[in-house]
Amino acid sequence: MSLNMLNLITINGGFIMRESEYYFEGEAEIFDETQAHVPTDNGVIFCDTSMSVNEKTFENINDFLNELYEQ
Amino acid sequence: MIKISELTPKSAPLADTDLLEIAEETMSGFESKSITGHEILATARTGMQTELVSGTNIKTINGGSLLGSGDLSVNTGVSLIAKKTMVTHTGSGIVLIASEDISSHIVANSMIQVTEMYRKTVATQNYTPRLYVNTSATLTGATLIATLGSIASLNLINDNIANFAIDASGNLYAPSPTLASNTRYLNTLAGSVITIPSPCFLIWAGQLTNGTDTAVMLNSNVIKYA
Repeated sequence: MSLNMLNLITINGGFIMRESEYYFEGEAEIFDETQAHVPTDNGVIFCDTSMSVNEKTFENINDFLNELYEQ
Repeated sequence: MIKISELTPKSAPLADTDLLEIAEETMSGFESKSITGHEILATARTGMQTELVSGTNIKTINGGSLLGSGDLSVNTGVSLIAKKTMVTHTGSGIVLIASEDISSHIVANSMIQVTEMYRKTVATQNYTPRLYVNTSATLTGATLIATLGSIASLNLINDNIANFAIDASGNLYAPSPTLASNTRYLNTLAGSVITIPSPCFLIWAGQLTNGTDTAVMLNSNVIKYA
């Protein structure tokens, strides 16, 4: 994992990004193999596979979202 | 000998043509010396500010003079805080096409208005502009604040206005950010209330459904109403 990679840490019903908690408010909207919008209580977050989840990296946004929503 | 204080006063301001003459005794008689009014005035004015004449050597503001005492009230309520012009967009997926750090313009109880015009120049499928905010000039981890109306046809030009309210607690209110619409005041989806990132970068992005298409953001102005 790159040091500059933005990492999301999953929590029950959401995730932590940049030390702030976000809670899911619906299903993600997938745009292509690398990009998606994730609706949360603090807005709709643009996610792509340049980000990591629990310090795991992904080549496909579906795998990324499966890890993100898996709680 | 006559002292200067004993001279008869001139009953008018000193003129350039006035002449003051004195005679200084010398071994051979006397030497005459003189100075003109112009020379006296020029010496006195050395280092002094030239008299200000509105519109001549001091600018005016919208035709109004800056001369005189007192405060000049300047309207700080409305201001243009960012401007982008003629940004060409190609490629597939959602792409960042411009960004601007607007942190210094975020004030309590204000509104931010983004106007954006865009045109499809190579077209087969939809082009959808979006606006985000983030802590840096990147889309990764950015928060969507508006989806503007899509255009598909060649040379179609669209214009959009997106308004955002900012409260005293640092929250930004975005109407239906996922709804691609030109009539955002008729929204039917829930709005977003987000914590404004710090620093706050405004990001212009676009999504071309077909990666071989091209769109141009003709102009976008960001106006603050405080």
